Amino acid sequence: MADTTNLFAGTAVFNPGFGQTPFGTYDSQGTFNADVESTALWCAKRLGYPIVDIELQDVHFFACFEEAVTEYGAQIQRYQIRQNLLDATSQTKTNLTTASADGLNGLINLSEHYGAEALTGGFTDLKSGSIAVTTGSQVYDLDALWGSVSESSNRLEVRRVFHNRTPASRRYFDQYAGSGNSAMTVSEFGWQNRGAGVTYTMLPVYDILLRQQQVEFSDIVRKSTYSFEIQNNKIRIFPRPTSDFTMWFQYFVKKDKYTDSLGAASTVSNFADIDYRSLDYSSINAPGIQWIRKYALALSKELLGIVRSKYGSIPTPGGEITVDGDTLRSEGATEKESLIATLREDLEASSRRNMLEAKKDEAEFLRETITNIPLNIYIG
Amino acid sequence: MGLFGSYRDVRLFNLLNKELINEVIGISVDIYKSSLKDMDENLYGESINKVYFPGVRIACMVEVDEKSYVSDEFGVDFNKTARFNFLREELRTVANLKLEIGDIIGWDDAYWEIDTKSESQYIAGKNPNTDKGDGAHGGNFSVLCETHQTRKTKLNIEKIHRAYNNKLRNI
Repeated sequence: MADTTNLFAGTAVFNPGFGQTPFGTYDSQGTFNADVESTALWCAKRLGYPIVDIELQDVHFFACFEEAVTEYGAQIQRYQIRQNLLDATSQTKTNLTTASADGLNGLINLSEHYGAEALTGGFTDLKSGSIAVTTGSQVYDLDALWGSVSESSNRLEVRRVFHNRTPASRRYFDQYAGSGNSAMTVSEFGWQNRGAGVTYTMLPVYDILLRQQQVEFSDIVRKSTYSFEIQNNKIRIFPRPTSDFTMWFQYFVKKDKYTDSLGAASTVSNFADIDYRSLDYSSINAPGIQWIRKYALALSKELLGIVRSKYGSIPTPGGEITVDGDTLRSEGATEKESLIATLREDLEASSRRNMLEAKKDEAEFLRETITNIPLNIYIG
Repeated sequence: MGLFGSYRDVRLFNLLNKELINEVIGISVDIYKSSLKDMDENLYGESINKVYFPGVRIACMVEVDEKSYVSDEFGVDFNKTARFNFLREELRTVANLKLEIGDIIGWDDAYWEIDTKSESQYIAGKNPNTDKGDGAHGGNFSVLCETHQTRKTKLNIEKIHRAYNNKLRNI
């Protein structure tokens, strides 16, 4: 009996779980078992069986089919990762294989980081500290007075120093700024809406604004400006203090800003750990299945070409022949490239950006079309 | 141990050649082995009337040379030679016989007697049956036979009518 174990036998019987597919990823998922058999037969026929022998076995076709499904999933999911990585970064790892992101989460997350810098949000605590300012002393070492004591010598990033002149609103009642709205003062102490035995005069708002501006201009023109400089941990305050007081400031601990901006270990950090898994074969639609079949055929063709071109020429009794291995490999590779290019084009066309553009175009065309429709005129 | 010419490779070559010989080229010949026990020999150990076993049909590759005519005192005759190249695996599995010099090959309504036989086409230069290595590489691949066309009348393989043709005689 001739040894024909290297040849396709004309039948393809798939037994899931018995190692007929290299990875067994999709065994028994949906119609995979039936599809892998029918695709094997189809591929063999497309390669010329039974007119010519096929130097492959059914397990080779099964392997090609499994690889085709995996390649399809990989292409789809690489595209999905590109679409969703921004939204998923620093989020808890969640299986996104069949989920879709809303497209705003990533932007909001970015805004949080910007918010930390703008002191309007973020993930890092803005801390408060203070130093005791003494009369006549302008320079204070923030590291020695606060960083070493309260923050274990960690570097501070001072974001706000509360060293300002008393606000004009608190001072326009004094003898230099004029007086009048005692009700406002009462209100400051929480005694509004009560009879406090003070004169109550109804004044327009512009009166208040003018008074406050007058106070501020007076400070700017006639007095020293309240300001500060920080250099190498040392803060120099202006003007020279003429009394003892506590000066408060707000700061970030520098390393907190970095560590707080990182996601936890269990969160998505990059292209490699965003949670996309193998596709469920039963969820793939008809166009997808057709792509997979064609890709499996291209792989089979390439594989058959590899088998046939291991040797440059095949010996025959008294001579040698050249078989079509190289041609098959070339055709298989070309078909694979073409299929992947087509799939990528489809995916790009269905990106959020492109779909929105298409919708915009559609709306514009629709508007132009409607513009050309004559309006009905009713004559009563 | 060689990297090339393993039993898998040899098996692939055999399968490709089986397809080539049987299905692509599709030339079949009949091999007639002489039946020594059925032949009577004379005083010198010669057998005037040869007897052959029934033919065994097998596919092979054939290369035929042109006829060459010779003319001598007995009249005009011709010589014709051909090479029959057999796949050893096919001989083993289909015909189950060993070709020898003197065996007859029936092809193209003629009989060809084997003059020489060559069995030295080795895969990867090795014959696993004689190789001093692991014996798992290479292959003794083919049997190449040089033949000449022989007269049907001396073979007794088929009945030959040697009478005159009346029609020809009456011309």
